[in-house]
Formats: sequence, structure tokens, C-alpha cells
Amino acid sequence: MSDLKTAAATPDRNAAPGLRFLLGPLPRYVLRRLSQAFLVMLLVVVGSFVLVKMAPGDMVDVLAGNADMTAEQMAALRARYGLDQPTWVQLLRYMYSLATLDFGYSPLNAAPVLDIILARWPVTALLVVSSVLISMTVGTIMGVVAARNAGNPVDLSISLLMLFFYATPTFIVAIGFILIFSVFLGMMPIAGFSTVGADYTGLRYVWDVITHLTMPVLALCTFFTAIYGRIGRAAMLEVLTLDYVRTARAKGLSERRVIYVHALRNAMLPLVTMAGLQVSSLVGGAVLIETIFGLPGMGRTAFDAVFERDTNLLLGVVFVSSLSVVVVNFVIDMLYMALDPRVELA
Amino acid sequence: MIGLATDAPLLKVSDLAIEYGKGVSLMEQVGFSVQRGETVGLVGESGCGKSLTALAVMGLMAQNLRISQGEIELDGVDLVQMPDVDLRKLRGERMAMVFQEPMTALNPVMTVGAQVVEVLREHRRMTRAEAARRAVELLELVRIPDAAARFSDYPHRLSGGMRQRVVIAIAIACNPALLIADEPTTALDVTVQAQILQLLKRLQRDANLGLLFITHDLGVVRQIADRIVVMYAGSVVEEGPVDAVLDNPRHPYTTGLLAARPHGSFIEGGHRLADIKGTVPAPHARPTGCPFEPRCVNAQPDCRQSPPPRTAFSGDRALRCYHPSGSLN
Repeated sequence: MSDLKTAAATPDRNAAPGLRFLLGPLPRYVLRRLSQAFLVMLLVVVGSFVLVKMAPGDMVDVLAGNADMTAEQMAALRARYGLDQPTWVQLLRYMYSLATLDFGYSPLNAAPVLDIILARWPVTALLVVSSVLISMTVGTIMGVVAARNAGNPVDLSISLLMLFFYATPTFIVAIGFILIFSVFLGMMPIAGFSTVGADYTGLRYVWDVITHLTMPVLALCTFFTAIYGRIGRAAMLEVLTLDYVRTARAKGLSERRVIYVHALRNAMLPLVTMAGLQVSSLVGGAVLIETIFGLPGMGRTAFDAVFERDTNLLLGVVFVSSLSVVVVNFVIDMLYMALDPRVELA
Repeated sequence: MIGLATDAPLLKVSDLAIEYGKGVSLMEQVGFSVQRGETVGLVGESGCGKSLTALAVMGLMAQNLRISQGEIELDGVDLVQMPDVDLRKLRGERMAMVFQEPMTALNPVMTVGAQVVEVLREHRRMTRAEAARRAVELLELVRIPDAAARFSDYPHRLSGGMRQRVVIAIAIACNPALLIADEPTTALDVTVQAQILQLLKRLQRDANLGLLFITHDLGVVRQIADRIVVMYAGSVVEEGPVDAVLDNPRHPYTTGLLAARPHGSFIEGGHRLADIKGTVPAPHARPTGCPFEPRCVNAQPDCRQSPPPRTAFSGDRALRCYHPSGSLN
């Protein structure tokens, strides 16, 4: 088979191998996407900065409220943080420091913004990645099973369960979990990312984190499992009526092969699209779950930063979250191409 | 298959009836046979049950349809009673099918090579490399230029005619005895049509295939078929050797079909295309008597009493009609 493949890929024989690759469609595509991403991030920085500055009150107001300051002290503080300058000067200064990977200082946390984000981003990433993987897998399987049993009791019960998941607000699920598994049964830790003060290491630590994240991840999963289930069922039902599925059956392939090799791969495309949307909505939007379960993630950091008027921290969180979404979108597009050869680099 | 009389037909469909849901009859008393090396043309209007017959033979009917009566025998073995597992082993191996729409018949996310390899590996003990080599041979056999390079192409890079060749390669991969072609040229343009017909004819001759060729194009039938089976509203109305039937049609429906073909010149003197009055009745609204009676030019009161029985007559022909056109030669 290998000689067949090389026979198929014989474009330009004259170009040097390295140069041919650099001029190839993939690097050009990546380059274009990178420049697009740069523009998007520029807009995010300017937009979020302007929005934050438009809100009344700044960090010094909050500090003054807590610490009873005179007007002179407040003015001195503003001058120290550059808050007395015109907005556009502040923006340019901020952009310059961003370019040097300096996200500024968070006075309320008494730490550089970058350090705070580096500590909290992994919590959210773990939460998001595990819930995407679990809800996509479970939802897809449910959807496939429902589609194969379309109209009979199996389909009906799955569809009902999906509707239940779909209709139940995430925070209710979360509180329900806490009540049942932590309060009544005492099986699960109520909150936090790991046991405070236990200082576990190695596998013991991993297990500790898993037990702490189980409930928040599952709570985040319910709604999206329902979405994947419904999309998966619809996509599968559609694909199963297509001609190539009949061709596959006419070849005498087993039903399992027809479903999982021929049909499912085609039905995956809308599910992958959904995964992109789910990641994007969770990266900054897991505030509720992070708050309920006391997880030190990005959502809660942003939420707190808003109330404390901690501009630098808020802008930093928005920047990193947006960057994550841009990267995820790129990965999804790559996945799309891997799944469907008709999707061309364009 | 062991111990079978050589003169037993390859495919024998007898008294086949198919129902939809609870008792809506889609076809009744359908019977015909295909010999080894013979091409049978199955013709009729859209919705008369041609494709349904093909799917019933392959065991690929939609799940809400049911064979309520009759036998489908392949090499003398009844497929209707056969468990699904065994039927699956025959599909793609003893019998294979070529579909109408080459643009959608191939999986868009698998290379054409992989789709040929797949059927070989399903029915033959072959290593990946062996199957790949055989697949390239098959692609060459169906005259795909530069087959080794096309092997790793995805279907969307191929034209309709080329895709139909791939579908044919998949169908003949395991040397089936019976090939069913369901309007394989309808979706192709005329020059490609002729090539695909030629290809099917050649493959059929070389492998002594029994070919069941479904079409509504009577010109194509005359080109390719030895025998013709005419269906109307779920039953076979006329059958016989293709030249005899087309030169001297006896059933008023066959006569009407032939008259409805464009002929002569449209430019000179306002030629009008003849048609058959009325439309095909829906399955649940078929008349109690002869299904064609409401549209028939020869209709008499007795046509409404009961469906006409199958009457065989000279020259290996058969007919379901009380008042046939033309003459018994």
C-alpha cells in the first residue's frame, strides 16, 4: 500500500523537498490562520480594555472603600498605577506590556497577573477538557443507540433522559449532587480542587483531584451530553438513510461495521462543531460551577476581578480565555479536515 | 453450492408479495427468473416496484416493509427464509448490486481503494497488501485510468462515470454469480452511459454473470438484455425475449410504453409525444381487477372483476391480460 500512496502524491518534482513543503497548502493555511488570530486578539484587547474603562469606578475606589483614604492618597495611588492618564495612553501602555508578556500586577492578590492565571488556568482546562470528552463520548453513544432503535422504547427512554438532562439547569444538578453524594451519603468532598492541607503527592494527589472534580465535571456534562445525544441521534438518522450506507450493507458488511465505520464517521461532523462551541462557552463560562464547588478556576477569577475592579486581572483572564478559544477553534478546524477529506484548506 | 442441477435458474423469484405496515400491498405475485450468463431487463414506470424487487432480492428492504409471501431462490436456496447472518455472507459475495446514484453511493470519507479493499477483506481471507493489489486490478478491470493513483483518492475527486466504475468494481470484487444493476446509467450523461453499458456487458460475458438490469429506458434494454420483464403497479404484466416483446408487444401497457418513446423528428411538423392516460395508482388505491384497467385502451367490464392470471404462450412469453393487443403471431 505504501508504494501506492507515494504514486498518488507526485506533485512538483522540480522544487526542493523542504521548499515544496513550505510552499504547500498546509503551512500557507496555518500562516493565514495565525494572522487572523492576531487580528482577533488585537480586537479582544482593545475591546475589553475600552469596555472595562467605560465602567464607572476603578480599583482605587474599591481600595478606598475598604481603607478610608483621603483624596490626596487616592490621587497618589492613581498616579502610581497610571490610572490618571488618558484612556488611550493607558491602552498603549497595556498593549506594550502585553507584547512583553507582562500582564501587569494584581494589587488585590498581591501577585503578578500572569502567576495567578498560570495557577488557575489548569483548573479550568482540566474541568473543560474532561467534561467535553465525557459528554461527547456518552452523548454520541446515546445518540447512536437511540438512532438505531428509532421509534421503539429504547429510543424513547434515551430521548426522555436527554430531555431531562437538557431541561435541568446545571446549578440544580450541582446542588443536587452535593446534597446527595456529599451531605447525605458523605461519599464525595463538597468543594475545592484538592484536600486543603493534606499535601498529597504523586498518585495519591491525582486521586484526590479526581474525587474533587468528579461532581463538577459530571454536573457540567449533563446539559452537553443531552445536546450531543440529540445532535448525534439526528445526524445518525440522516446518515443511515444515505446511499453509501446502503452500499456498505450491499457489500455484506456486519451491521457493526456499517454503523461505526461508515455511518458514525460521517455523523461526527456536527458533533465536532458542537465540541468547539462547548469548549468556547466553558472556558470563560464555568463560573457557576466553579463558584458552587469552590474551584479556583478562570471563571471565578474573572467574576471576583469584576467586583474588585481588578482591571489587570480581568483583562488578563479575558485575554487568556480568548486565546484558548482561538486555539481550540483552530484545532477543531484541523479535526474537521482529518474527518472529512472534502473540507479543503481555504 | 453443491449438488444443484445445472439447469436450475440462478435467481428464481416466485409469487413474491411485499407489504407495507399492516397489510398495504406493494407488490403481488411477482415472479421471474435469471439464468447464469443471462441479462434480464426489468422495466416499468417509477414506483412500479422495480427497485423494491431488487432490494428484496438483496435483503436490503426498509425495515417497515415485509415479504408476506413467495420465494426468492438463489442457486435453489430460498433467501426469504434465510437468517440475516447467512444472507449477509451472500451479499457482495454471491450477489452484488450497482446503484442508481454514483454521486452518493460511495462513502465520502473513505478512499475509493479502501472501499474496494473492504469488501474483499470481508469475504476473502486476504492480507491488507493482497487486497490492495487485487483492488488495483479491479479498478483496472473497470477501466479506471491510472488505477494505482486513483486508489488513494477520495470519491469527490472522481467524476460520476468514474465513481460508477468504482461501484461496479466493488460489486464484482468477489466474483458474484448475480449482479443487480438498478438504473446504473440514469444519472450519467449519454456518452458515459454508453461506456458503462459496454463495461457491464463485457464483465457479464467474461464472468458468465446473471445480470438483472433495472431501467425505464427501453432503448437500453434492447441494447443489453436477453429477456425483458415489464412491471406495472407491483405486478409483472408481460415478459419474454427482448426482441419479441419490443417488436410485438401484447400487453396494452407495454404497447403504451413503447408508443410514449420519442421517435421521428420534433422539428418537422409538430410531433407530439404520446402518453398513457392517467397516473399509476397509489398502492392502497389499486383497483380490485387488473391494475392497469383504469388507464387501459382495451379495458372491458370483465377486467374489473379479478386480476388477470399469468398466461404463458409461445416463444417463451407470458402475459397478464384479458384483452391483449396485437396478435398471437
